[in-house]
Amino acid sequence: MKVNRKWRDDELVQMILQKKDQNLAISQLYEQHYGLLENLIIQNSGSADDAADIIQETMLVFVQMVISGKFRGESAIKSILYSIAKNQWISELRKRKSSQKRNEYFHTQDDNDSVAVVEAISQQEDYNFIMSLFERLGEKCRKILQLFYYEELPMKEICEQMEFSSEQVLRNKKYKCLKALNESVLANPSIKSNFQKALRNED
Amino acid sequence: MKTNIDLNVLEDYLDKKLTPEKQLEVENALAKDGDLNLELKTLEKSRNAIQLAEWKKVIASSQSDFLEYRKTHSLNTDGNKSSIGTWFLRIAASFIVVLVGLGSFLVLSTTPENLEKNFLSYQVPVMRGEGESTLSQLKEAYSKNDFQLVIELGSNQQNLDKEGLFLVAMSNLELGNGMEAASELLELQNKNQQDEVSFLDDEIDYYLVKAYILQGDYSKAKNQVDKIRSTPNHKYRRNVDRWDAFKIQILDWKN
Repeated sequence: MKVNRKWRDDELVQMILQKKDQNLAISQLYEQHYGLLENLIIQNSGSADDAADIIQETMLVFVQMVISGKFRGESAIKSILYSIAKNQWISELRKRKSSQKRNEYFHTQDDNDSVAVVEAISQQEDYNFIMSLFERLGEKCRKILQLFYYEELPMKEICEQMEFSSEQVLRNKKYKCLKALNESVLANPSIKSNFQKALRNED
Repeated sequence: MKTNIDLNVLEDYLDKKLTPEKQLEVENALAKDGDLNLELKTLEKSRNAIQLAEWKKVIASSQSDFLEYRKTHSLNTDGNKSSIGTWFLRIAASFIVVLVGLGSFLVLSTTPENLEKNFLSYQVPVMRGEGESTLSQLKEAYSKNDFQLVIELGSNQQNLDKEGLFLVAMSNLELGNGMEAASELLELQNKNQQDEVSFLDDEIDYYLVKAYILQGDYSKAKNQVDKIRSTPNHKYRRNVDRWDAFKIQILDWKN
């Protein structure tokens, strides 16, 4: 894997938003920033495997921020990735209850972490849970929702691709799948509570 | 849901596809109905999560490809630290290439002829009133660059004095006869030692270097250079430097 052309930060954001050559965009992010992020983790009591896990999650949080409009290129991608990875790693150290390591790290962190990053990481936990519920849907449901929301294919094309008898049948199926997912999300008290808190904060 | 606003309507609301009237109806309902707000929030999150599930696959695949590529291409794993290491290695490699190139150039370009050219030719001092003596004839022939005549005149003279012997040696040097020149200069040096006098000692040291180079005896030539350079008041100390010694060393390696 070697990305020959180098895109600017704003171009990378657009590639992610428009899902145009998104594989190349992500590859470039890995090529440009993996070493820096890996170093951050390894220098703060982590292993190479820890770094790989944190970086994968960091990329996902970054994409989440881009597609939800929380990152529009106000700062450099490098800075935002670094901030996400740092916060993710602090969170991981907390989970491991290694107070010594945590304290060592806290002494070195600065206080200018973006609020948006901390919020995005918090939301990612909810997203990870919803993603796990999504994976539990039937294969057909997952396929319909993936083609519609990720690939952004028109109903007609999905209908042909998945051999539905009519678009209306497909619409009904998609409705049921989405409703099932929403219901399973709301069935979780913790997620429901988080959403309610978020709604109160928005008011 | 208490209203007739279902999931499809909420989707259209998120996508801004509703008519202004329907949009207003939904906004009014959202203002009154907390459950509807929760429904809308959940829908928004679910739609994002569906996308993120796919992004997760893209990211996992990119990471796997990247790590595999790094493994096979021995890329750096230490971030900036490694980058500095890589740059250091590159600079060191470039430096070595330059050194090898320079070394090769030096080895190829350093020849005995180039070194000999750097030597000053001995200039015979012009003295008036020396008459028709052998020495004056030697000097005259030498000043006219008739080195062969100097050698012939010298060989015909039974008791050639030190100055004459020196001129014969210089003539042999000018004609490229290193062995003869070295022999005569060493003879002169021995005479000086026996007589405990210093007659043209510095000149003898200096021209012995050239004589040895002509002979191809670079080891002796280098020793001679070292001798001159280690003598603070040597007349020719400024005429030979480390560079000359290095070049002679190269000739010795090449030999």
